[in-house]
Amino acid sequence: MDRSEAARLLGVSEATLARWVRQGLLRARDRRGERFDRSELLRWARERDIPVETAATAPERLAEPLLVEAIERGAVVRGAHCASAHDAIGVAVDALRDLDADGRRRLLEEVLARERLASTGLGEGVAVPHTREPLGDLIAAPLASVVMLDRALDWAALDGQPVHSVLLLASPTAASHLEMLAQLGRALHHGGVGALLARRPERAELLERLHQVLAPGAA
Amino acid sequence: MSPPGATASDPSEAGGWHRLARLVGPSDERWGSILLLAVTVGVLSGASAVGLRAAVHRVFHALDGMREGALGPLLPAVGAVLGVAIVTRLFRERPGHGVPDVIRAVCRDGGRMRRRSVLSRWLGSWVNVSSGGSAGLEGPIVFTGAAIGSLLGGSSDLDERRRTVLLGCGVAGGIAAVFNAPIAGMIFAIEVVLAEWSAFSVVPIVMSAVAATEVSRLILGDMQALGQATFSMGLPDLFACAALGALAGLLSVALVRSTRVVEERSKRFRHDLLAPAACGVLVGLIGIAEPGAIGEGYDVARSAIRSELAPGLLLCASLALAKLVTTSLTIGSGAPGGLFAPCLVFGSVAGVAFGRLLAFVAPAGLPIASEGSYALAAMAGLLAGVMHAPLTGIFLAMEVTGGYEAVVPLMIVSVLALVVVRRFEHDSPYTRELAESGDLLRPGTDSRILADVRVRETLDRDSTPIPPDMTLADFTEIVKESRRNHFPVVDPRSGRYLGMLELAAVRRLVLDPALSRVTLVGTVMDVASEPLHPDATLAEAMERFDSSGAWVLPVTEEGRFVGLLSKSTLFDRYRRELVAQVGA
Repeated sequence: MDRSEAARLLGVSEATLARWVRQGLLRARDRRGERFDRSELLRWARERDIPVETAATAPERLAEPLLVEAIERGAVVRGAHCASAHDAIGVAVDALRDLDADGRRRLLEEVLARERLASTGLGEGVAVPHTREPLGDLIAAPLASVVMLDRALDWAALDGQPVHSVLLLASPTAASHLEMLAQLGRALHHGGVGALLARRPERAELLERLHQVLAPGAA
Repeated sequence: MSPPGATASDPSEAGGWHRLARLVGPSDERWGSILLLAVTVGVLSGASAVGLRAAVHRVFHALDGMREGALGPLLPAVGAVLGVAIVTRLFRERPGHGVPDVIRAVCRDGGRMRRRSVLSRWLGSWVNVSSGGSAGLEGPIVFTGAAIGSLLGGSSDLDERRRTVLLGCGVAGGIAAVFNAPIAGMIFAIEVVLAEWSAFSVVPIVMSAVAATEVSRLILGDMQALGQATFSMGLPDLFACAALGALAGLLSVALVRSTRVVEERSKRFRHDLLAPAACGVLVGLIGIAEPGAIGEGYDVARSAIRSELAPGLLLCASLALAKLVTTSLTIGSGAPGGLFAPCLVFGSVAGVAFGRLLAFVAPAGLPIASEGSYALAAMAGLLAGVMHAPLTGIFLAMEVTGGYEAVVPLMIVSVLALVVVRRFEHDSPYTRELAESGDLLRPGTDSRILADVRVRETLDRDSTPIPPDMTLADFTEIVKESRRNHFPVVDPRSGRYLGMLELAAVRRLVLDPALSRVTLVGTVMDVASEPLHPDATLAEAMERFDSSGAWVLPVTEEGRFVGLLSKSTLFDRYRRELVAQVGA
């Protein structure tokens, strides 16, 4: 590998790597100090407890459209008839068939507890109920269920508009919750997903639109 | 700054000290006072060393009559118990010869020792060795000298570095005086106690060693401590010395290990004075069969290097074995006495045994050196092996006999002995305990600074805690007022630390008015980074930074938030501490 790859592997700058070679701390494969042997570098780093940036140790990327995956694992319910926000959340939780009865009961309790603290009505007719704290002990990957209501409900939303769609988010970590919220924000503001939801689209149409809006490179 | 050579001839520079100072290092007004102090420490530590040696000789010989009587075997026991009692009861110090305590003072206490240490080991070893305990006076002399240096350094209000050098001056003075060996004193202080070779420490230590040696010569006269002898070793002997080096290494390991066995057994006694009593009785009994194996034993070493030891290979080997056992019993039981003398005596006897064996197996006609020459070489090997100090071994063996002609074999035996010892023992008896507790940290080194500074000292208390139920929209208002990027999340009722919120992690949400109003801090805070304790060392904090990849870590005490520690403050404080300890 060349000098820049080797420097990246060891997490130092190329200048540091060049100095190490000059001082004889590290051996290059050629005389100019520009070619390195990967396995030798790894052994060298291990002997000195220097952490290396290999594919296995690199932090997991959250750039994939996590929201799409979460909905695919979760559920889409079209035309639910609910009398209150409480009911709508119940429908959204019940649709999550990945969870057993105990899990759904706990999720419902925690989502309602969070809802009592402050409304999750986002505006543009969309609410995003979620738990106050991540559910790392309950789920391994984020889950989301979309419930499109027959009749819009008052949700004490920020813009005062009634809510026609409920997007329940359940995340194992704070990071995945942040990522899903950010993706949702993009879908609503730049992808017209709010208007789409108001039309109560088919599951496939909704997922297709989200995928288009959130795919890497689509801005 | 102009180069040192130019300033030395600068006529505008007044004062001889300044000129000397410019020659040896950066300009410093305190060179004069430290050199004066070094000489004073040398004189005092030298006098104390010579005084202890004389006091022990007088009492040891005064007790000769009693030693031959029926109660003779009890004498070392009485001495050991009294010696331990003086150190642990009267002066309330840890038992033993005290060299590890001196090194601890250098590593951890900024060269500070207690005032009473000037007397504790002096009195303790006087009683113990006079009565026949198989140990040396040099350990206690080193301890006493170090305490004198520390005392003078403390009363003259010196900084850590100078006080530590003065402590080293006391060590060098003690050894230089007791052996009439200025070079060995200097080398021992630098190699074993300070572990720092720089003009800053070498100059005062040489001055002290010189002063102490002169004191010793004024009182005792200028003669080699073990008497002069002639040594001549040729090329065949050098090959034999390689084998002797390996043997000396193995014997060093045996001495160190058997002492440790006694030490561990001694700890099991219900009363701390029982072990020295029991070991003392055993030493006394062995002394009846082998009178050469008790006390300091320099008479034996003297005869050995002059090839005047009683004849017989087996006799010689059994004396060596007896010395090994008595030394382990005396030192292992905690009686105050040092390792120098036993190393020299045990080594010399073992060397004679080796020489006799060699004469027995060597082909007739091959010129081999006298058994005294091998005794000398083995002494160096034992010193090097037991103390992990090859230079001290070489120079001490040379200086106590005037045997410069044997220096090449001494070098071979010393280093080979150490190579063998290192296979079995990673640390010397002086440093083992410190190394095990992670306290073997030489002043001015990176690890010392990282172990000295606690997280508490580098805390950033100027942070804004936020409650978990705050929305990100409200949090945005706090961000506007703050210069920081990291915010601790704290339960406003209990004060418990809950997690961290980093601005960068929630940047996309705080910029979105709708999302930021439906998201609570407690939902998106980071709970993964485990908090540090304020008493953690910087070394531990660095490890945590490495493993977590975080830039800022929370610090909590019993669950309550105390402050934040950031990598940048850590680096800043590290630099500051480095300058404080080492000088810019």
